[in-house]
Amino acid sequence: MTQQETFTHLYKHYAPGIRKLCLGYTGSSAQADDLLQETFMAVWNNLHKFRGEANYSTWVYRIAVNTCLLYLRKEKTTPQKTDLDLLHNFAAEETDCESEVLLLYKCISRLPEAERLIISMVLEDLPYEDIAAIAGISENNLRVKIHRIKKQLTEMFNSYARV
Amino acid sequence: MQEFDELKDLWQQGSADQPSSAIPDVSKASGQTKKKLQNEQLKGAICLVLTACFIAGLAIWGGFGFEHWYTYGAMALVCVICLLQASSMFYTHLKIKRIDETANPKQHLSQWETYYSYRKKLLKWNGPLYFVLLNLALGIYFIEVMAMASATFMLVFGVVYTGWMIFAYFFLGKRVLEREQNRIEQIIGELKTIEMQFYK
Repeated sequence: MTQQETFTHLYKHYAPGIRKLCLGYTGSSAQADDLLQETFMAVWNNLHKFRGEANYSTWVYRIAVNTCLLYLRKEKTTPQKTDLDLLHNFAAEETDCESEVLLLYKCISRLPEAERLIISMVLEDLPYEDIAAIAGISENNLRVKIHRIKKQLTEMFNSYARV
Repeated sequence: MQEFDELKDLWQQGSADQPSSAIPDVSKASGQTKKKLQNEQLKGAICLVLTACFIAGLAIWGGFGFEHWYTYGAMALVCVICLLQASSMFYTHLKIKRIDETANPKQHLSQWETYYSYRKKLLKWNGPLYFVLLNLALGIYFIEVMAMASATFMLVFGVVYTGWMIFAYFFLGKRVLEREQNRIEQIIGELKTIEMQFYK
């Protein structure tokens, strides 16, 4: 496969998941699109370095995580951290499934940066082993974190959904 | 009351899973933020090398016929300053280039932290040194160039030039420097906070 073919394959395969990760991270569709583009530019720029030590999924997600973590700093923008009032209004106005999904993205974007990324990967059903490899932490440490984040996110979502 | 598994179902049935944009145009891969930072430094370095070559060319083939060696010395000093600044920018370019986006987040964040600490140190001494050396070179250059001018012209020129330099350095420069230092410190602080989030 040529570099362009590999890139196209990676984009088609991973872009939807990466976009969700970015959406969870920023809580904004426009910023998620920017981040997705930025991530795949980095994938293209680093593709020649891929030696196959990790699988493509881990490799691409790790680039996405790194891009997310740096993006907001370099762009001098702040995450669109939805304020509490806005979340309450949002939950009160919208009730269908699509709006619940949006509420979920908004709730995730209120978590600390690293936790947003970890929980997005859990929701995306990535194996714990892969998430640990992407985040560069031990699986035990990851499990403890995931347990805590799950609880926090569920409570936050329920508190807004009940409004 | 929803349980986490229900949130997972919700996430997976979300229609926001389709990227709204097409495959990125890789011919514009230089638009990536890291690449942009890298290219800014590289372009700056190239411009400074070209400036040094231009000034050197003027000194050698310009036919100015200066009488004193130190006037040529001043032109050479400007070339040296440009080349030193170019090397510093090229080194910064290499530093950014070496940051590995495929490393784990801790390593990646710490590489950016190192880069920003380097920028912070560089800002501290690079600006003042550049200012002092460049003004020294221009001062020496003007000794001969201004020798034929009238005393009034020399006085007016001296006052305007010195005044502008003092204003640029102590007012404009200091403000820009302070803003940049604060921005870098804020970035370093945020990077450290995120690094901690992974390991606490």
